[in-house]
Amino acid sequence: MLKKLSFRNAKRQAREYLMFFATMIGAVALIYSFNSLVFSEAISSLMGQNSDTNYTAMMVVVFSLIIAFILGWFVSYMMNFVLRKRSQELSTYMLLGIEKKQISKMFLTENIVIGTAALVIGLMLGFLLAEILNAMLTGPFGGTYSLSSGFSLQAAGLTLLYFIIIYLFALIGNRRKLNKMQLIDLLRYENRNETYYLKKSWVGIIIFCLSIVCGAVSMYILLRRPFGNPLDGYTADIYIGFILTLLCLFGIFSGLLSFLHNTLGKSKRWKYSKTNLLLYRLLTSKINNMGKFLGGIATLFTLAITVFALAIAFGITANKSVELEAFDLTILHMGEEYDFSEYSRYIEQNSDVESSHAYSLYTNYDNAFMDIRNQTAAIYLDKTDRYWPPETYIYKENRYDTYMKFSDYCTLRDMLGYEQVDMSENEFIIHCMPYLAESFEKYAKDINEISGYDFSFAGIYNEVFSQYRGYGNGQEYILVVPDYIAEQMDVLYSLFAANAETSFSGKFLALLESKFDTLTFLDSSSMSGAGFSDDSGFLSKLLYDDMDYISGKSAGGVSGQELSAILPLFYLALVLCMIGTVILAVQLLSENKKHIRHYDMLNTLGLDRKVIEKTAMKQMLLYFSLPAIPTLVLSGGLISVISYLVFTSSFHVPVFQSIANVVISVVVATIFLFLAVYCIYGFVSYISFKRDILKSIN
Amino acid sequence: MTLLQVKHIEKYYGNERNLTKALDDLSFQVETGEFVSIMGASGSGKTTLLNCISTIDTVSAGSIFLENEDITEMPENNIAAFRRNNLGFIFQDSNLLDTLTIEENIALPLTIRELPPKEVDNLTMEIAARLGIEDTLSKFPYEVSGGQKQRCAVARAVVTKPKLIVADEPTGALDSKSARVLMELLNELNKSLGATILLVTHDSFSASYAGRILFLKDGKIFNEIVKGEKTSPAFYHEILDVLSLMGGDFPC
Repeated sequence: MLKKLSFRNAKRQAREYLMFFATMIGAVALIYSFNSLVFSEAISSLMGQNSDTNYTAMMVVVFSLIIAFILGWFVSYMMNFVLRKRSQELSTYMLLGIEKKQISKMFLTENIVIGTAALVIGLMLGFLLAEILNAMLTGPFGGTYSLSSGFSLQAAGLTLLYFIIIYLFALIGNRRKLNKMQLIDLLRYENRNETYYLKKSWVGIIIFCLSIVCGAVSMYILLRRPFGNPLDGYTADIYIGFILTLLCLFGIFSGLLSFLHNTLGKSKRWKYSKTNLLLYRLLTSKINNMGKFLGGIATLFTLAITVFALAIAFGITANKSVELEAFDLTILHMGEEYDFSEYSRYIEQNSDVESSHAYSLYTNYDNAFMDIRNQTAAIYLDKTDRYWPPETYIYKENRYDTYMKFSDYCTLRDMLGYEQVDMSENEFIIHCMPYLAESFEKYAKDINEISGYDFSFAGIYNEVFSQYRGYGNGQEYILVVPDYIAEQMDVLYSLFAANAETSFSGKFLALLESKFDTLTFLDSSSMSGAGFSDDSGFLSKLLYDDMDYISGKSAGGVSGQELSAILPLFYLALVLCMIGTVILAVQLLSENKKHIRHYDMLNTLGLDRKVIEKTAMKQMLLYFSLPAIPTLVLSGGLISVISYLVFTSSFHVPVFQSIANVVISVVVATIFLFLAVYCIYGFVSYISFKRDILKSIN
Repeated sequence: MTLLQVKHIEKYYGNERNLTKALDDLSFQVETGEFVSIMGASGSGKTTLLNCISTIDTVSAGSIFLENEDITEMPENNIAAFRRNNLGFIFQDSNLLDTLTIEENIALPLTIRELPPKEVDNLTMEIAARLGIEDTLSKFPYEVSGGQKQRCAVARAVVTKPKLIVADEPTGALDSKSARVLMELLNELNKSLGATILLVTHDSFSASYAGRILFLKDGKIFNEIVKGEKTSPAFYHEILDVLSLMGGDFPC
């Protein structure tokens, strides 16, 4: 009998709390899809040329675990909500003599039924989602997408494990609560009221003031960064700022009620004008109950926004890295002119290569331009709090001024679709990154001699030309001279540059590397910590003398590290956002009956339908803006600082025209993304809320 | 002067196959300052009648006039304003808002009328003093007894000085002592303020406070008695006599 009752309740509960059920399904689907992504072949091949695959997998697993705990908290919150909703029903069972143990067992059975259903449906949905994600991710990053990844048992197993953790976490808490509960508690559970804060209003005011102080201090620390060390990326400041932000968010709502109660609530003049009374009470009764709850929601949203911003910032960084590479593929051979025909033949036969060119770079061991480069870079490094001298960011092979034949330059410009340029026999051109243009131009105008020949400056160009991070066409700049001048210099290294019609796939590049014993990938991760330094004190990434190095857009444009961070970050942000909005929705639903009763009574007492609609709208506006405003203010500061640090630490020279604009664009994009989701959701809630209320007063 | 005129009203529920006639060609009138009770068994149509008069429900046929204005013909947009300006409500379960204090509950209809806050406060305090509920003003409804809740509901109903107070079983959830106190209060308000009260009840004792009683059976007026110069015990017994005549399924 109890089983039947339990099953029927589970069915009813699933219908009544469809949103909870849907979220559970969504959570399972997300966990599965991302786990399966980590184990999928497509992603492994994409990451194949990088050693970071395990790092990605580990990151996703760690993130999934964090999410498992957050979901655990959410599920237990939902179970508590269900308990409150059904307190009357449960108390009737107890009055009829059903033992607490049996009720607890019934609850367990019920939740297992719902949980299992969510798990099965979620896994199926997750499978679909994983396929879509797979296709989306491998497409732009040059991997070859195939639908063969199939249902991943590993991912399903891991999902099941997380799910069990989530459920155990929630069930244990719920069971303890239920076992402690007396019949009288159950009978009063629905009406349990909120006198605590009212009685101790001064505590609330202190909490509120402290929260504001915390918020202000956190903004100060984040913007000024007084404790931090640029060498470790201001970790101390960011942590302290972040913790203070969270403290502020947690305290602010608990304190707000008392603040409102003691200021507005006591002013009859304010309270008794227009519909203030009703709104004030609807709001304070909510904050009363939900001070901590709103704090939790705001914290979830702040986390979501921060993580979104990080993902966007990493995305921009990754994109910029790709952008700075002009060629899909380059092969470097050190120290001499080289015949790349063997590689070129293989590439032509096995890929959709569109154009290619083999050439050499030269040097006369001067470093006049390098000195100017160092001076210019030093100003930027100083401005962005970097202690190292600009020389630290130069590779050994690129430490001298680098030259290129004009004929090669023209061919490469043609390959890249740039406009052709003119230059006479006794002129030279500079091609550099934009940040050097001004200081180079000033200097170059006064030059009238190169390698003993009379020369004059013909112009400066700064289109993308594979000059960032060395081993391309010079490090951040190259001097283009007539061919006969270059031929008199020493060969620095030779390059083979190729562009494909679409792009070279990760699979093809891996094959290329394995086909030739002389080929290896150039480590494309950031400068610091990569490579080795020799007696000269300069870093080098060329570990083997007898090897040729693959780099370029397709090979290492998006480094494994960046990709491995973006994926789990979006994953985390999505789940945090989802949980936050669903909890808000559930909270609103749980209060719906009360609100309907209120508005119905107001209508009976003669409040116009239009005024009721307006009041309901005001109520919803307040309800949604309350957790959103402090969240947006605080996280706006937080993400602007974090994204600034991401951009400055990712690039050792200014690659953006204005870093402030990029930071603003990250903040705006993140907040826009968040607000878009939030407003759509808020609008839908308002419509259904209004419909419910108007239905009841008709 | 006639305040309320109910003329041949009918009210049907259900569909063609299963039609229930809740009110059947019902007519009566109430004078200004009168205290009228409506009695009847469950299902006799008394709450339906009250709902139609208070514009919570609509009639199927007939007209209801309040001061010569036909409220059955009133456009929907004006109904809320009509209730706000003319009626005061007292319900069986008081229907106070849980989130508002007793004081705020009383002030609510005044704020709906958009009176200046100062006046709202003065009127609220005045009625609270008159009804002897000053001590409970800062409490929430769940913190006071059922009797006090109903006194607050009465205060909310009369604070706007409405033309007509409609009370639906106001003593239904009260013990006999609280019920008596509440009825005496209504009686006092009727006498001293001249408030017109329309009371629906099935309790003979409560009904005996009224000056006139209408007995409803199957949606029609079965009988009507007037207190006139009779003593309260005599009137009470007269009520019991009518009830026994009607079928006697009433508690005494």
